[in-house]
Amino acid sequence: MINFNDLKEIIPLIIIAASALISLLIAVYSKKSGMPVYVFSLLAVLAALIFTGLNVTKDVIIISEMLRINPYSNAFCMIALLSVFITFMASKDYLEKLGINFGEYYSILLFALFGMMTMIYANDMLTVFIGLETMSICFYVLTGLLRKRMKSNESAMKYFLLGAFMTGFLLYGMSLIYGATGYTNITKILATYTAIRTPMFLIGLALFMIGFFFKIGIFPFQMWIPDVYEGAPTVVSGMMSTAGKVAAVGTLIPVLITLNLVEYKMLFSILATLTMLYGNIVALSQSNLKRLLAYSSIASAGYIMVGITSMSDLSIKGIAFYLLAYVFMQLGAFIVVSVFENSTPDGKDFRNVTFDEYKGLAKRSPVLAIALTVFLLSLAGIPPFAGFWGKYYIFYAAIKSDLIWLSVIAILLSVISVYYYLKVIVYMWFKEPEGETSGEAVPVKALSYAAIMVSLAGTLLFGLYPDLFFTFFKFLIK
Amino acid sequence: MNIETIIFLVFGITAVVSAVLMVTRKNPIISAIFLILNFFTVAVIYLLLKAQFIAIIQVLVYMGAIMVLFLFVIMLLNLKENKKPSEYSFKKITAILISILLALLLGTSVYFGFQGKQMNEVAEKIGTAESLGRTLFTTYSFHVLAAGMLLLAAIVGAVMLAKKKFE
Repeated sequence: MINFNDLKEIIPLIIIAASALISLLIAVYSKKSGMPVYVFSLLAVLAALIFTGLNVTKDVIIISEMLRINPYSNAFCMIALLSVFITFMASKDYLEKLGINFGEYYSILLFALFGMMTMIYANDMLTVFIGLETMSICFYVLTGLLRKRMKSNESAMKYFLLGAFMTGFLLYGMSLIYGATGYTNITKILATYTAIRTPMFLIGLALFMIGFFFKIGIFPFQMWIPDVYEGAPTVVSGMMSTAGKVAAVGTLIPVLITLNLVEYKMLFSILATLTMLYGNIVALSQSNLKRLLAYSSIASAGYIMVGITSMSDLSIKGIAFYLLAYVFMQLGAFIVVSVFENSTPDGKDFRNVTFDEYKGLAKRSPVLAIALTVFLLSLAGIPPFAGFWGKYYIFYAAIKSDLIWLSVIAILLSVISVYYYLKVIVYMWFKEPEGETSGEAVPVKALSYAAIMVSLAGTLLFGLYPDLFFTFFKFLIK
Repeated sequence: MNIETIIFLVFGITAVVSAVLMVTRKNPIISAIFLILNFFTVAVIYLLLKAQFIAIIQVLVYMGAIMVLFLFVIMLLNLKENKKPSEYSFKKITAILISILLALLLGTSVYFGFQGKQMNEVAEKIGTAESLGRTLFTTYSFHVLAAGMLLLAAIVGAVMLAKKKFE
């Protein structure tokens, strides 16, 4: 039953849902200019962000125990909202250049955001499922948005088929868990869990986790990531790799940490190791920055898995911080790539923008080069940037829970990752520009510029003052 | 013999016969039509079990939507009639044996599992459209709304991908 008091707890969710519907109408009535719907959706996300921020310490279970608003879910929701906000800022210029700046784009993205928030707030498996599906269906559509490019169609098709298949796993897992416990309510399942560690429950849980590991990109289920991120419009890839991951991690982690599956620590550590190995080693041989970022997103899924393995409150804190840093650096890097792709002379046709074309970027437009350098260094985990602290907190939590060998492997692999990030930086700063566009500055529109600056500011701010995050989310330090 | 048993016998036998006929026919369209008959009889059996909602969904979704799709696809594919004489190959014989075994297994387990048992009162009420509707619009009202959003997003996405003009 939804009663009136419950509604005021989920104001952010209502704002996003309502604005998804209203933006559809705005898109219909202002076909000529993309401006009204753009401004409206930006404001809507900002409003939701502010409302979540104001009520961040709430801890209630509402709507017949279907939703659970607590500080953890609020933190993950805010990170997802932030990611979508930055994506919105950068979207307009990029999409206009490609001729796909439809008003519906914004409302589909808002629908996806509604799905993510539903999923993160979920306290019932049915809610998880509906949220996840809303998010996934919107992602399939957004991936295939560049309908004239074969790559985009191919990646949308792949993503859709694999995603539908994996949804089957998830749903089957949910039904087995329901069969074993008699509940769909997550709190009740977690409460009875110790009494009913039956094989049926464990198989159900494994299938349930497989569904989520697919979305996060953990090792045996990571195959789709490079192809999908390469084919999708670049800003969308950035959003999927950040917000999508935040939503899946934010749903799964509270469940896993409460379950405290200590006897499966070894399995989780192996998965984490394989994921990091795969992402970092394969990334070494990439020559396309978009694909490189996709592989690095697999590697960061591995770092998150290290956090999941350590299963303590400390690791939730680390993962939350890492994801926040990740939104700024990964999304920032994707936005720089999108700006750069737009500047290529035949930007309308698909072409692989390889490292070669980034040669001499520092001479052509120093600001872009500085921004990209900061994002890549932060992804590699070099100290003064936010990414370093993210990795620091995760590895610290792992060491605290006696996973020293796993943290050693993780640190070694992050050292390897420095090689491929530095390769791009060397191309930008130490090589002469070549080709027909050499010497010209890369044109950057004001709004994309603003998005890059916000990401840059975030990377630097949380790198220099990591405490800001923990002062805001006081609950994370207990 | 009361009226329920008579209805059950009539529709149960029709269900089995139509299922067998569906598998054995050569022409796919005739097979599809027997499948429709089978769906209908199964829907009636659901009704006898007091599962009104599933019965209605069976008629609306399976008989209405999915079978129309089936028939359309068969007609669009324009299949040539298979002239090959039927032969009792190894494949066919194993298939028949396995299905008979499965039928026996399911039949015996259901027969001995539920022999002489009456449906309990709770189970009787669960399947009605009324109780389902009540649950959906009270406990699960949030999900109805969220599923509405999901469907709308899917429709908007499909229309955007299919209909937008690309210069």
